[in-house]
Amino acid sequence: MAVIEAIETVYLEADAALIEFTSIPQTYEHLQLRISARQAKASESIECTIRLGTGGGAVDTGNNYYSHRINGWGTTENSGGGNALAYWKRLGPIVSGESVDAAQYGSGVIDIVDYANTNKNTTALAISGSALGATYSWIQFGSGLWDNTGAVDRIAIAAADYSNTFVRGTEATLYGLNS
Amino acid sequence: MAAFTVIDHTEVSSGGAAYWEETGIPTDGTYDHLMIKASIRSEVTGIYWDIIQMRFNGVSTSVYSDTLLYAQTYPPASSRNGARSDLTGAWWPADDATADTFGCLTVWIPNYANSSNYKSVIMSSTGAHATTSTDNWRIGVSAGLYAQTTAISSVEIKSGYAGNHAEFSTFTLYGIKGA
Repeated sequence: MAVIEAIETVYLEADAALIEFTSIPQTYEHLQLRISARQAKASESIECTIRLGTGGGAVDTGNNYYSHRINGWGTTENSGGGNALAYWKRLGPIVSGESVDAAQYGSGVIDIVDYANTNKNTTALAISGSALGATYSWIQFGSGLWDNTGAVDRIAIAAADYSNTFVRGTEATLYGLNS
Repeated sequence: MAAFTVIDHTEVSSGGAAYWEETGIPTDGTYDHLMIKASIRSEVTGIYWDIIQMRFNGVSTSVYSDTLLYAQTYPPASSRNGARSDLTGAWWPADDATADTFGCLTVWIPNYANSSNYKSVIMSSTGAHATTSTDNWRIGVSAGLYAQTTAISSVEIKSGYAGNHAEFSTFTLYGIKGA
């Protein structure tokens, strides 16, 4: 049995607002998302938003998501976070928007650790970057906390604030890490 | 041959554990690199986040140094620790943090078995907590140095506050083989 296995890849052949992984197996120790994305919004760099689900139902839309981050955009550094939100905002990778060259896609890697353990809230660690060469290029390191001990069986990745769209060519792969 | 192999997986049982340690790590070329992925919570009371104390080969002399980039408020900060008796560049939730919340820790130790060079260590971690309050959370990355040429055959992770790892904390050590 391989330690790292690809569970599913979603490649957008057309613009779409949402990428969703459902019926995630409970047989791995950790999950890892690798995302290459671009959004149809007049911005150089823009975040993805993430929601989780458990128990076979829809993703949680309550204000149960918290995230903290360190980031740099252009020559400016920042840090903070921690507000209760209806999705992980600053954890989701920062990707490219319409204000940079059409060939530019931002990328991110998100570890969701011990996701099937019902004794723990779900937590995550992520690093992402986008818009290299642009005025507002981003690099971000972030943490996420979902205040729910349910085993994660669904992940939804939406364009920024659930009000934008991923463009064709955006791709996300969900990996499972065995122990 | 698979690139990744699980060397050890440990879940802390009831009562907690003062440390996680793996000894007898092969140094004969079986693997080229080591990676640790952990989901950790500390039992130390009166604090929101604990700090790592990481040592190799049981060595506790002043042969460790690290450079840290972290945030627990705005702005982010960096610092350097030289000639220490352990590596200190990672953090995870402690007893005062949000209940049932465990931090994410990834440790990367490249070329760990060589006997010519000092060993470098890259860590990323999250002291997650549902809060916007200054200093009650900490996330960050670090670059560490173990200034010994001896191959690494054991690794130990303890609380910097001499507390226990909480029940359900998990540690997975992977060996990674090149081509």
